[in-house]
Amino acid sequence: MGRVIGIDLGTTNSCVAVLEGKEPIVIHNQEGGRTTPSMVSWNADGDVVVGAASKRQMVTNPQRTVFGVKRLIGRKASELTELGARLPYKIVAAKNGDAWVDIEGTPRSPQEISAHVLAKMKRVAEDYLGDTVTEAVVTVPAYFDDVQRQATKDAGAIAGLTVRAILNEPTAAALAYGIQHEANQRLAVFDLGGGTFDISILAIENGVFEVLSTHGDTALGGDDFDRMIIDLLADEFRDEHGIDLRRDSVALQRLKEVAERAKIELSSSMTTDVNLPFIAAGPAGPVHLIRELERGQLERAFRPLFERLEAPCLKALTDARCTPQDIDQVLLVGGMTRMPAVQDRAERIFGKPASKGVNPDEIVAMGAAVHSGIIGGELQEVVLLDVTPHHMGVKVAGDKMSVVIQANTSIPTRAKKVFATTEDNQAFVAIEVHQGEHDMASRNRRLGRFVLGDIRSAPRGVTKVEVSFTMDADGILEVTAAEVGTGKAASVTIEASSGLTSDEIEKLGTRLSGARLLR
Amino acid sequence: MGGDPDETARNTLADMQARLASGPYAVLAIAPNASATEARSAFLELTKIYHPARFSRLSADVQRLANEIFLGIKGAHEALAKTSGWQTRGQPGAQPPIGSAPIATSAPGAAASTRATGSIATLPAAGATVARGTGARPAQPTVPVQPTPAARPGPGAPHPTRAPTGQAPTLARPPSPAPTAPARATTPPGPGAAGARPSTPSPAPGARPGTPSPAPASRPTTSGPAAGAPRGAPQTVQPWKPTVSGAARAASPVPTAAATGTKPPAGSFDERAELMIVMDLVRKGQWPAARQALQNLAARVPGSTNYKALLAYARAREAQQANRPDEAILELQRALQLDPNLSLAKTALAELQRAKK
Repeated sequence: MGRVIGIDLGTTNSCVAVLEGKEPIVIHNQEGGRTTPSMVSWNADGDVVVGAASKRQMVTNPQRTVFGVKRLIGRKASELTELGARLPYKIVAAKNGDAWVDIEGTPRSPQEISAHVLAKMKRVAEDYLGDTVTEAVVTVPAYFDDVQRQATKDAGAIAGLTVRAILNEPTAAALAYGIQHEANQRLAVFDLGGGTFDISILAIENGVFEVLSTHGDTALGGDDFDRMIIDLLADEFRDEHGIDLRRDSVALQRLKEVAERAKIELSSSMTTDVNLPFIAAGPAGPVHLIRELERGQLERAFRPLFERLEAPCLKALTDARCTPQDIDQVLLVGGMTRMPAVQDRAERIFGKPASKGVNPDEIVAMGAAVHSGIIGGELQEVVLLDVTPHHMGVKVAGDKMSVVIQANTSIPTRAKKVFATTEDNQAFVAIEVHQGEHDMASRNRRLGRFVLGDIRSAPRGVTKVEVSFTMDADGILEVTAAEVGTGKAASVTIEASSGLTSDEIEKLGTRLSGARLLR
Repeated sequence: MGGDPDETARNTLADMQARLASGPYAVLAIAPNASATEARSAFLELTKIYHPARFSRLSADVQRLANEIFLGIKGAHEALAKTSGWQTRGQPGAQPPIGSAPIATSAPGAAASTRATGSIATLPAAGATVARGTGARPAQPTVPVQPTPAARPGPGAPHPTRAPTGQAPTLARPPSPAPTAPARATTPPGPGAAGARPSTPSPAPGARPGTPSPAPASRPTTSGPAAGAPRGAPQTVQPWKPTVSGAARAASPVPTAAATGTKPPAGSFDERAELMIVMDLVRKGQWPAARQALQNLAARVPGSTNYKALLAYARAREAQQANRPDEAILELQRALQLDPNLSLAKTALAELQRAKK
């Protein structure tokens, strides 16, 4: 068997690592970078450009350049109208309502776009290892639901990778940190990346990494901070010149670039210059956007975003039955944690200085490589016990969510619950499985449905059905329903569907490997 | 590993499968008088060998078997922890790894992962319209048209919002579930009573199905809801463990738990539903309505001093609202005679007396 590689498929940047001996090693890409922009563009001929090259031509080719596709993957177009309005590329709804991207009239699934990034990471690893790679551990935000996870797996399949495990990003970071700091301890991993925020509490004990709880916000990340800066600049510009730069996709792209750069620069200096000559054409000729930004000014603007960091942390502490004093180490992960104000927040929440010894851009990929060693058997002394991040339950009368497996239950796990009929002489019951925290089942993610038929005829409430949920260590759920007393049963493996059939995945795989790549 | 890795894995797993049949001590290979620490470290060592991740490159059936075996190991550790009153770390309720004191003294959910949770809830009548045996399966999940009894916390019909709990370490503030459990009444029903976590893994309500008390029988199961008790399902209420006592079924040797569990719930739900309404009214400070509902409840469960105490408390608040402080004080004193632990009444009394001075 070949090597299993570890890939951090990030919103903004991706990173690949392998285990060398017992050490995770980050691999340089062909351009010499240790991380690769998660960007894919198609040029006019339909050729594909991935990574840094794609980023370089983003300004000249905004409608055909896709960034941040991780925010789309496994989601419905209807959930993303607000985000879509701010993107230079076009989001369209696929047949089943999934959010896809329209590239010059060709709708492309986020899975396919992500697959291009994954394929690039695969090539990077193959160049380094001098061998074909077909297996990977891919990381996702801990708070991703099953549809988003499955979509990520499908992206791997399109890229020619069997995804051996979908690993939670904060857990990965803890693995990478923990194998270098072997003492038993409690970690809080504070992971603010390009698109998502995760917080996980872990206990490390004799080599077993046990996740105690995880919470997060799948719609809070660096992109939101960039957007804040864009809005600040664009609003000012509009007030002054009467032109909304956000309506011009090229101007918006230039704004986005400058916003990200300003954000990064202000992490180390107190002021930075924004310089966008010829950003728009006014009635009296070209107009320029030239001004200075101060750190304090941005921090004030960011305050509503900072506020959103706190609640998930407190919930995670509560679910882990911890107080901040019980946390031995706060690990900062994700590029956004370079921002001093974000560090301050994390330190204030947990009441202790955060660990600065890790590279927040690389540690997740390193953790994925560590997990590949757990799977491959190179690391016998380490293992991971993770949790399921969301409630799993059944829809009951009145569209209520009846939770069978609680969020933050250690997996694998099995749980059972008995339900009763609601109608006289009810002939069958429908078991509809949902995932999420809302009281109303329909507001949660629907994962699947099956029917237990031909049950005993009886007055309502008399016939009872026992529903059993078995979730394996990868979070895949099997649901069994059996009539109490008769033992009549039905069973189904609920695999979240990413919206692509295996046929489509195969076809996309062929299309991807046939695409001409430009450097 | 030499030879077929699938075969090697199957042999490893088969050995453990045999141990699983011989009980938790055999699984963990520890002595019956082993300490929590010994059991815990035995479990961790087994986790390193048997965690399904170790088998994830092997064939699907090996992966499946590995999953079952590991569930068995986890279950063994949790069962021991439960009977011995230890903490299992993975779930909330854990001890911090380094020396410090446990944060939570207990977590009813500690063993949630393998425990059967036996609440009775109502399923949507798979298309209520076709439920009468036509067999036609609804293509769309229809929001079921509910007959009123099921949609409301009426008698005989388990309420869908309350039924589905059962496995959480209920941080909720459960108002007194059974009139026979006086300790409950010490829990202030107001928000912020989250500290009222049951202090043993098997809280009072869980014991109910196993040890049928005379109370459930005396509870009316067919009569209508309390007259004058406003209907309104308090959304926030997450009750304690409802019925079947999954915990008992999974981990205790009481064979009757499941059997008894199917009967009494109808009655207990009813009472609980009423109580939920009361508590909601209390929280909202709607004293006359709360008093009325409590009168009904107390009348139906004549043995309960708790309901009487609560009733006196509600009367007191009603009086206080109507600016009759002396009457209020009298009622509060009565409430405290009935239930000296009713902290709500204590606080209110202290307040009133302070105000009087």
